[in-house]
Amino acid sequence: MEFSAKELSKLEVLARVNLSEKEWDRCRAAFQNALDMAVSLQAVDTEGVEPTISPMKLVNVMREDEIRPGLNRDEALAQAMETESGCYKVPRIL
Amino acid sequence: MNGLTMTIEALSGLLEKKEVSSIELTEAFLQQIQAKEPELNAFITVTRETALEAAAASDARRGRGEAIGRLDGIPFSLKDNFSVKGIPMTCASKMLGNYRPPYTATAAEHLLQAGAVLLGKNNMDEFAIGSSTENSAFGPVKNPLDPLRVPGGSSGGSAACVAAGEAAFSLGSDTGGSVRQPAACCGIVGLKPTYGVISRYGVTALASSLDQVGILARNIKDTALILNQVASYDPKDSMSWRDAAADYSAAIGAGVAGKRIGIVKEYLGSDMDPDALAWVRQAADWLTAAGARVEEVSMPNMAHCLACYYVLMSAEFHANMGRFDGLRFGMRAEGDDYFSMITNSRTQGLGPEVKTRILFGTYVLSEAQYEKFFLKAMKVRTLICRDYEEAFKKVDCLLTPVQNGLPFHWGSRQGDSVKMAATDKLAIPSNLAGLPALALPFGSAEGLPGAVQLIGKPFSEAMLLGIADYLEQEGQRP
Repeated sequence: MEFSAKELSKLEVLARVNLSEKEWDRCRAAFQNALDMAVSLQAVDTEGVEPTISPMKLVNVMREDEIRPGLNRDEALAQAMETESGCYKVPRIL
Repeated sequence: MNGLTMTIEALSGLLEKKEVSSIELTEAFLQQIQAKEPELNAFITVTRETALEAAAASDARRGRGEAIGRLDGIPFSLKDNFSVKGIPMTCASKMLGNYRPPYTATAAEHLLQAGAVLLGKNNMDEFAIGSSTENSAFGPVKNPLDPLRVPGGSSGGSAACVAAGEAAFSLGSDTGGSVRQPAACCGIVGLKPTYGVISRYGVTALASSLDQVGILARNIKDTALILNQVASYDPKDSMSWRDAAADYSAAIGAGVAGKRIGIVKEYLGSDMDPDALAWVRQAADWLTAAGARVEEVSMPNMAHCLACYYVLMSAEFHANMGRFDGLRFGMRAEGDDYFSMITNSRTQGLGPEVKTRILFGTYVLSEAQYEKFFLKAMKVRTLICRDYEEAFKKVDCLLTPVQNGLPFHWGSRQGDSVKMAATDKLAIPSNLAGLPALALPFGSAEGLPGAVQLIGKPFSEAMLLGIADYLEQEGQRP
């Protein structure tokens, strides 16, 4: 199974991250190896086998809807690159 | 002072007898850091001032007869993916170059509450992707035992710093061997407890169904002591285990008579390094001589672990990395609009290994590939878990290599993330099944320490530590 440059471009849009040509040259072989390895799993017989999502038996964690201490607004905004009037500021969306 | 490679037990004895103060101890470790760092690069941040303040507070407590316990006044370090309020946390990435967490990881909080003195944050592979600590935005870490070989990864800074006497112990994270493999590379103990035993709250997630906090320490008793301190139920980690064990030191000194030890048949093939096999065989001989019963078990699905892990880990990593968007924290690059700002921030802030892994994760989760790869890998994971369940019907624990021989040489696996992940193929399976696993220095080759691994049933840490302590004590006999 070959992985094409066109498919890479599609993934870059989905993941919102780009590889430079130099980076892709460096990582192309690893990506292809990973793909070949993933393909190898197809040969494993998993007929009737349930998937494992987590090694731990999942128990839904519920709690009362009570107000608890948390970060205040200044603390929450302290790491943002840009804020305005106590809110995160982002470039135009529309 | 010549006690930098002393155990916590020995150091806390000196503190108790007031033969040394925590300030003196902390200053000695800080001096060692200053002396060794130009060569090792095991730290990203050294918290000199807060360390000395914490040491002074510890000494004052002791002076009043109020020392908290054995960790009070003991200097330690954290992998730089643990949050500590106000102290930079980079995950060895440009993306978090200026980030200061507004809260503290639960595991770190437990140590700070016990009076342990934080010396700083350790270098690592960027976002814990790697097995050699060559992939850090802050430069690679050197192995203190052999500068031509890697220190392992991704907790390479933690392992190197403990081995070099820069800290008494360290915490790391283990998603596919990232605590045990560097511990083995640097000749120290590495423990990954059962999934859920130590809270991961405040530790940057890599792959959430595989991640577990681990301990890097000088010997088994220290490891048990630290585990007793950091293991706890934490409602802030939804996978946290509710029934913490009473005392993880309980089986230390209890001997190994009657224990049933399994050797995995599939790990005895011709692809295995002769030294790695020799260490396992020698450990098996010692355990047999002490009354344990060693037998072979077959685990045919171990052959699929690396592929299964690579698919699941990449997918979960892709999902977890979605939070790095330049909006609320982390690096923000310029962009003409909202989406180009996000893309540019991620493109400029993340290294090539991280980006490749994100893209592979995107691929296996994409609509066209999901069933073929991601769902398939989750089913194979079930088969791997079943292999363990079958094995543990016959034996109490498994004895295997940690990695296939000595640590590899610099640059020999750079740029090939599959080869790099293959380094961990013997460590990965216990993450897939969520089992406790421990790497113990054992044997040697070419003048470097070897290692063996013990893997147990869920929540059998105390037993594993007991068996490991026996091997450690035997190894120290003249």
